[in-house]
Amino acid sequence: MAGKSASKSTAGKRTRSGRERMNLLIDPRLLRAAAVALGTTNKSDAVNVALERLAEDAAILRELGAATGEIPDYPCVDT
Amino acid sequence: MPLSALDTNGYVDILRGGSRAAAIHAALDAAGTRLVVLMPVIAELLQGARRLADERTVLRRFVDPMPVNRRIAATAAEWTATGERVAAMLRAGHDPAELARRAFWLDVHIAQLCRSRGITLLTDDEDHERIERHVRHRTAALPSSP
Repeated sequence: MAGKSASKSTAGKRTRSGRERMNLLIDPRLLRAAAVALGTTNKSDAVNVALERLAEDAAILRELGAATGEIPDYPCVDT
Repeated sequence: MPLSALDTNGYVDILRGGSRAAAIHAALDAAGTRLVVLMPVIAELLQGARRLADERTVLRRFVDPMPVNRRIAATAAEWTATGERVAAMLRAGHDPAELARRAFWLDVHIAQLCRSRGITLLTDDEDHERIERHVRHRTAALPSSP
């Protein structure tokens, strides 16, 4: 039971799109810079797109790292 | 954020391991670019897989973690552009025997795909030096071993 209640957000209110309104402390300069860099139309999108890309990039790099030396006898291919 | 993609030889170096693999991984980690995967490169890699388990490794490590919008495959227009590019290279006097080589032809396709999507190809394949004169795609050298 303790784990279940711990996973619930105490500050959040879920929207129809599955997003959640949360009280977060964010540096506004970083948020503006992220919105410009990512080309998002609003700051919520900037946060979500940035988090999505961060998670994607981390997973991609993790798997590249895990592949290192995984097939040491990979043959020479004509490329 | 600029897009980058590894060429086949980069993936082969990673699979074989060693200091070159570590250098490539470190460079990708630090590059600040958005990595995408070129599906023709995956096709080439699968062709080199000797065991079924190797095929699964290629897909699990290099394709599965990529969201669908980062798996790059040619559209009808891009296939057409590849054919037009090869024809133009032949008309310009490029060696027909080289263009008849499956791997070289596929490199022209990869180059065309990179050009049309604004992707920088990370490669040390010398074929791309010759192709670049015709296709004008962007390439960058794979990092060498420390």
